[in-house]
Amino acid sequence: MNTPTKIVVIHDGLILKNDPLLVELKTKFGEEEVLHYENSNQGLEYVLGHLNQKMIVLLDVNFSKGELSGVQVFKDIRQKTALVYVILITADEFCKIKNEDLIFLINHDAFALESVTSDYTKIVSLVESASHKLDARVDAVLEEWITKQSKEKREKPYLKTKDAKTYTLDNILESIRQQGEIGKQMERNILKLAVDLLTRQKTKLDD
Amino acid sequence: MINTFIAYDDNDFALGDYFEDSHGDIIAVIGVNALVNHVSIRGLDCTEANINAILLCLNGCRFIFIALTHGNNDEFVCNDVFISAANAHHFSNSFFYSTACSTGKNIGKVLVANGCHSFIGYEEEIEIILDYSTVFYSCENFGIKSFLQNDETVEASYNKMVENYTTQIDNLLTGSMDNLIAATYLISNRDCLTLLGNKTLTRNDFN
Repeated sequence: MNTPTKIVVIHDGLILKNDPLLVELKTKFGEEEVLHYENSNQGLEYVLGHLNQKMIVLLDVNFSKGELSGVQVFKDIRQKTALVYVILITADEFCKIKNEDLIFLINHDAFALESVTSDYTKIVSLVESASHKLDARVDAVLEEWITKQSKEKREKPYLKTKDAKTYTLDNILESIRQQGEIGKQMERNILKLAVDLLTRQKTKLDD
Repeated sequence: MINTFIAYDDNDFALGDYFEDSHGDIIAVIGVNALVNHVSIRGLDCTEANINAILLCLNGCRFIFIALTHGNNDEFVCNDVFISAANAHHFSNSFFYSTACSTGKNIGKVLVANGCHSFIGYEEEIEIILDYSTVFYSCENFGIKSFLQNDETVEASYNKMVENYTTQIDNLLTGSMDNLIAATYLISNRDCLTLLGNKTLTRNDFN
């Protein structure tokens, strides 16, 4: 069974607890799974401190002075992991986002960019779509499995390449989050196994 | 007698134990085979000069050479390069069996171009899940053990080796996620196996 996905809303323009967007998200994903941070620094701190759980971040672009901008929060998340989906939302016109920031968002897989209107269904639908994709991502499944292992097991040498490199599960986890070569290799191997089993019609697997 | 040389890098910092166990796995089978006269060459003796001197003594007779060492596209490495294009001609009249990374990509072809009859090896880097070392080296050695134990062609041994990989993969599918991950790496190793040169020789051609 999939572990639930946390929906982290980092936005300073929503009505605490009763905002229609928050109510709708809690109805869809569960009261406990939706977290709201008005302060972007605190929101970022939560995200980076909980990378071992599946997360979708709904991120406002603009924050008050003294707080990190939405784009900066996005950049800080991407420095640590490529596995958290981030949906940016703004009440402003998109043309107010700097070109270089837009390029960064696109090149680093911002899941979506949406304008905030009174109709929140588009945003909720994007979160649902992100949640589905997160469940289906091989790297996210691997991340989830590794984070469930004991600290002792994660720190022990796990994989050796014949060019004499050794990797622990923690090294592999980091590589998966950073889309590094050893993480991508593991993903490819899993897909290879799946294709091999399907083509050989070995579909009866034990749990 | 079938002259068989096994170069194994027991001195390697990262994989010395693995190569030693792999060597033991082969010796357990061919050591009791009356047709086989085997010479083991330990890591510190695997130098280009030493290998050349050993092979010169054969006076052109056919032989089998097994390399349980590191490798890359162009060479076999045991602390230093000991087989490359520079001494490939010494392997004319051999059946070369390699468990080293990537040696099927180029150096295997160079050996065959220099008169080596048949070559079995891997075209890419191969990887080992440490808790499953026994399964990994058993799969790597399966082809040469089968070739020396049976009256079968190089191609038949190669095919049995691929089949054995598949059997081991299937055996792992009924276990834990750890087993599944090990299976994905076995698949990756299996799929970069290659057979070059003459496919029809049997052990009798080396006797």
